Amino acid sequence: MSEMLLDIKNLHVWFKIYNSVLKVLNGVNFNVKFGEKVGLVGEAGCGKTTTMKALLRILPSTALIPEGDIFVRGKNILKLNSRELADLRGRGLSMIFQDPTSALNPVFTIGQQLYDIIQYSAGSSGQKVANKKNVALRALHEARLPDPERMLDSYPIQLSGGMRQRVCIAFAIATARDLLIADEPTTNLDVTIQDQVLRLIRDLVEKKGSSLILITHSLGLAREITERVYVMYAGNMIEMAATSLLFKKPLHPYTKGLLASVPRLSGGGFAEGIPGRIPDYRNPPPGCRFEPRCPYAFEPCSKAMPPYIDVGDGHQVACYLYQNRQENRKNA
Amino acid sequence: MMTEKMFTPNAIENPRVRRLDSLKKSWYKFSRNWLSLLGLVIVVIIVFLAVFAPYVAPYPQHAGKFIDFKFMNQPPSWQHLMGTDEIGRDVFSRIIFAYRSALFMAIVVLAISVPFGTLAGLIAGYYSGSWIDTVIMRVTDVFISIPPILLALSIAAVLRPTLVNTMIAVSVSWWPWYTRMTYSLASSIKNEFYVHAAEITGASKTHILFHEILPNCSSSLFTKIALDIGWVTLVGAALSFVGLGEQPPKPGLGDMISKGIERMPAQWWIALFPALAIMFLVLGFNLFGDGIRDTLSPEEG
Amino acid sequence: MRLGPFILRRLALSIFVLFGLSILIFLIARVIPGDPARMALGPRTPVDVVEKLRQKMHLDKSLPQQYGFWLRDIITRGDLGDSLLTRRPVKQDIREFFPATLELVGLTAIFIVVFGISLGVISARYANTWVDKVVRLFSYLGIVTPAFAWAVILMLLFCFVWYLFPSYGRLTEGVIPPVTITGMYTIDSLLNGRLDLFWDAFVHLILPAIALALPPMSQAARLTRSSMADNQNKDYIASMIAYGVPSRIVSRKYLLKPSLISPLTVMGLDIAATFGYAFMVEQIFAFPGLARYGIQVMLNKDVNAIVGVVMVLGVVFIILNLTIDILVSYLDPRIRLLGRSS
Repeated sequence: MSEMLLDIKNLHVWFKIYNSVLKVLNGVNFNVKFGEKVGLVGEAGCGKTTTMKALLRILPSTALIPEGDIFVRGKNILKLNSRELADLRGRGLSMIFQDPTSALNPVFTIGQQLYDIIQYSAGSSGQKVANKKNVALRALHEARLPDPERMLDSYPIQLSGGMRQRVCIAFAIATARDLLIADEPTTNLDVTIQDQVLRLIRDLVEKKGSSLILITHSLGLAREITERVYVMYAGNMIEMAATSLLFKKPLHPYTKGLLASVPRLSGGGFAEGIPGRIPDYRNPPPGCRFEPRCPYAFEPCSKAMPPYIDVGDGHQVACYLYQNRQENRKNA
Repeated sequence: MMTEKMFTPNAIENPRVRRLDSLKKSWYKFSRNWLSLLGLVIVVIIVFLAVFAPYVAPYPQHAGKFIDFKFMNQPPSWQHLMGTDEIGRDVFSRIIFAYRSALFMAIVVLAISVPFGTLAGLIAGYYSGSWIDTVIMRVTDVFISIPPILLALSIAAVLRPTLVNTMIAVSVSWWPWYTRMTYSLASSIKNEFYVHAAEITGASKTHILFHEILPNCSSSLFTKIALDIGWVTLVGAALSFVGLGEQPPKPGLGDMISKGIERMPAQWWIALFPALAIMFLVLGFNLFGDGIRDTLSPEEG
Repeated sequence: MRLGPFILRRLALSIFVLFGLSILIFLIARVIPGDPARMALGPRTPVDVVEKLRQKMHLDKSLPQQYGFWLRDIITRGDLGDSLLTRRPVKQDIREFFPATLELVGLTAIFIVVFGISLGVISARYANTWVDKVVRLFSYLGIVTPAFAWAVILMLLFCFVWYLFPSYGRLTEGVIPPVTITGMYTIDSLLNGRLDLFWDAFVHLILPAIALALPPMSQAARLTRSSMADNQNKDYIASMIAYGVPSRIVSRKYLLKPSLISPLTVMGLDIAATFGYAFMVEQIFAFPGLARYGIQVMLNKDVNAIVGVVMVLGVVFIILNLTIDILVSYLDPRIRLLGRSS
């Protein structure tokens, strides 16, 4: 337990809309160890970003958390007072957003924003941070940005997409933090830059010994960088395993469908999509949320959400198809 | 997050049923906001007063040549709900007739400026990036940079101060706003797939402009027109304040205020009620226009 | 493009526009009325007297030459001819009336900016609470009521129901205005060290300024609020908070600055429009300003005076637009770097 940096237990998040409620997160379980690189894979709208925003406590005011806990370094962060929250934000977590253009305030220079981030990383102690400029320059340098001095006085509009994302990375690593969350960091970038940015993230994370959560809808990316992967669908984690194991032996029908959707460079055949759509969060299915689209659905699937079934080697899947395996292992 | 359309089978196929159905849905959405309903009520009242003025006003003859010094400067009473002015005319009746000419002016001004401005904006937007765009929008910019009141004033002052000339002046200062709005809408709509599809299948430019692009501007257009009735009236009142517009003895809201100012504070009702009447009209059309905008804008997913 | 060259470019453009405006005005002034010399002297003057005046006024020369003489007179001596209405040099009329309107619009502008933005920020900060609802209701009423209606209402309430403010003029009757430096009574009295005069001039300005300011102020408050509400959900705000920057710093600095861009632009347009509505408020409060003068000369087809007023207003608008452009480009670097905002 002490090696667990982050532990999200049974998290439910709802959003109030004008005449009803969107029940987006449906009991999410997610954890990250110190220094671990974890992937979070799922299609658009499945709740990946919501989970992270809940973690950082930057959910919009229309959101509410009816159930669940989030533990960071053993402390339940949903119950923090403002001083503890300031400490957490200053030292604990950082996030790189999907769209670097909207993540940078257009009317302030890079330097102005960076100085404030550095200053307030002292958390609630409020100490004046010395040598802000050196810290800033070093961060920009580590993010492999050219001419850091001039970068400090530049506005986001003057930079290319790749540079903006590297600036966001610089913000994230400027001061020592335990966890870096990268939310689709390369989606909005040119293919040629994607690789560089991704490698930069991996190198920095390894160098500083931080943990990494890589959120992506691209399985290939997850495979390259992460040690362990969660697959998410419609507000639930439906499968989790060590990366290589997941790709070798996917168990959940959804995961299988995802992998089959990726076009192969070698071998024949077209990629198959997964027919159907994510459910309406106003009226989600009472049982497994994938059941309406699942080709293997059978009787228990529409009754209740399947529990996590441990099939060995740290591989967990939330699917009734495998409940025998769990029982078999128990009996064995 | 996508809102999924519910496909109920059967009756929706019939276009008449579909239109009635969407009208019902629009009304439901509109009526949920009490402010929009209030606006609608006010608008209906004003339109009713304007259309049926000769039958509704207690003293319709006071809106024309009429002098009765016996009753001049009477404060508000049951006989004269808003008092009488310095010549003995009933203020309430004159306000009703002033509403009539105000709405008439608004309709005429919009009837001229909306088609002209919208057409210019559609063309400029569709050909955006070309010289046509530049020419049209530069001309529009010149007109827009002068506040409408000043422009209308200058033009009306140069010509003779009649109602017709004033309407022309206001129209000239009004059309650029429609051009600008349609231009920004059209230049983004023209990149949509259905426009490309129409182009490829060889549709004529007229068809594209009027049957592909224009309908998608309609919600913004309707909203703006509803709001503008109030604003045009305001400009009209400002102009009639200095004697441009409806000429005496016919009543104009601004003209009534300017005459009433001279009698402040003793005969305060002569100036106050026309001022409140303008407020009432602008408030009503604003609430109504906002309601239309809320009704026509797509639901957020 | 940095700030310096940007300003220079806009300045050059403005001067160009000014020239264009002067040509336009000159043409209109010469084309519309009949014979300016005849009009100046009256219908009964003998023909040869009129002819002499025509020569003196260069009316016998070609149009471009006339324009040249006219422009020279204006630039070197500020001579715009005489007003038919007041029978004084137009220059004198303008020097008397323009500072009054400038004072009035100046105070109005201060009200608009200060109260418009403050109310908008308060409304956004307490969004959806009763504070917000009250401010929004008040703003709505402010927007739908035109300045002249407010003038009537305010005058009735604060001059006659409660005797708080004077209802006409720039100073109380009998009071001698301060020594003229700028022509604006408030500033001149301060420069003269006469606080009593300052107060007298100020109370004469307050009601008309409030009447003029209420509609644009309400619009500005509304825009500021919606701008802040829109930007509140942007990633760059969430990012700052996630990094631990305190929320009061985030709202005061990182939320406010980008949110002021569109309200400021609209406020600029509204302040320009205020010159248009000023004539009615000046009329209602019997305030002897340029707007009132301008309307009177326009209706009387007093050509020289019209030209003078239009030129003065033209210069004012150009300076105003330039100032707004500079302010907005300071706020939003995208404009000065790209020549447009995103």
